[in-house]
Amino acid sequence: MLTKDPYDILGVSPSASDEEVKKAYRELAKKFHPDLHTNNPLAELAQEKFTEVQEAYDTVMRERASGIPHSYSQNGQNPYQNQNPWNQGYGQGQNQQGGYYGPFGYSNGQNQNNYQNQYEQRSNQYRGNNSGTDPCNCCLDLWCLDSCCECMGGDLISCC
Amino acid sequence: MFGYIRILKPELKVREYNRYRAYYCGLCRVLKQKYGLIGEMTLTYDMTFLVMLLSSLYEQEEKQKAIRCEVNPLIKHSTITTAATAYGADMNLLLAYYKEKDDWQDEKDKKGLILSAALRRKAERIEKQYPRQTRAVIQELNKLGQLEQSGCPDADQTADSFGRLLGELFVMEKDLWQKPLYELGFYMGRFIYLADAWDDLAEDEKSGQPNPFKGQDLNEEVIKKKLTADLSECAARLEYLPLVRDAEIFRNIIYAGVWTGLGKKKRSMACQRESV
Repeated sequence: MLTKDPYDILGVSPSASDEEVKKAYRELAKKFHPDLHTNNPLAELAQEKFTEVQEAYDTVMRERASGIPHSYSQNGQNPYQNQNPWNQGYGQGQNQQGGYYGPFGYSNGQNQNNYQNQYEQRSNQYRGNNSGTDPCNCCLDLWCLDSCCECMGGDLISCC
Repeated sequence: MFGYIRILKPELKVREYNRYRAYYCGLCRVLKQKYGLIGEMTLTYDMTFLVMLLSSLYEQEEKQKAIRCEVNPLIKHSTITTAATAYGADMNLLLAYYKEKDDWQDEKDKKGLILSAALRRKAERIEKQYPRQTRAVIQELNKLGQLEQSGCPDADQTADSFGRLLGELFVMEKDLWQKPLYELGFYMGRFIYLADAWDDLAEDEKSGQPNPFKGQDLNEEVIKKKLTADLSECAARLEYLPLVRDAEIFRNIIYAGVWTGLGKKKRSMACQRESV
């Protein structure tokens, strides 16, 4: 188990984007990969560091997927111990209240909801751009807003 | 059944589309080199996705080459191949063998009989090199066959079976990424199976073919919810993997492209090639 802050291990800030975290992981993994240190007297240290980087990445990404804010370094406890979405075996565990028994063991309803919310959010950026009526809706919305603003004494769009 | 895991072209940058097309053509070229014209005919978007995914995850070296294609020999097409392309080609052939055998067994489609016979020897070669993947394909095919013969009593059971099949193919080698890769493949397989079942429902009701949605009170909204549930699990694993190269192409596919194949009549391979 990690004893240091996973973000410190990866060398990124907790507010770093997923892409920044992944790039940081990639660079560190390349640096400490065991295959690159086979004849090196520091091979064991490199392996330890590689494992630490791997665990840090795993912790950060699981935290972000589960939506639980990072509090790992504060009390030393692992808040994700019972909510690991991909390290449980098939056919184990019991259905608990609010969760579901998926093919990879127990996955609580919160994870499932988080994934679906995240999916909806990310796919919206594609749906919005594909809607043929969007420019019309946008224009109508602006006209309505301008009219309401004028009714209340303001003027959102001065040219109309 | 295959062809749902595709891009939404208008939402890709030109540079991204060119890369996707180069990987697609690269897979086609390797299929032709390894398995001839029959192999080339088995090309799918789904395996193109897998090849790009594995190439990105393992940061494999890319080899670029311009070639002429039978579809349009006047223009040279760029191709990109990596070590994963050969693996993708082999899995592509295994899957194609399954599809054709399935078509013959279920629908007595003579094309299925001819093609599965033509692919059998090539599939046997792949079986020797990839025993784990082959075991999964045979095991899950048998399970699927049994479930379908008993009238597909549970849509989740049949979808899970295909999910396990694809999940195993997504794991090129057992390493630290095997779990998320397997799960990504599993949920993608579920999506593909259910999407195909939904698209075939009307036809299967007329012809009497087994379909997991027969006799259920379903509409587009309910199906969309089911499919979104699987895709969201798939997307969670995709976002977990440290994919830097081509990440936006994968996002285009999983959040948008997958919906474009639903509800449309299945196009022929030649049509698909021209549309890429």
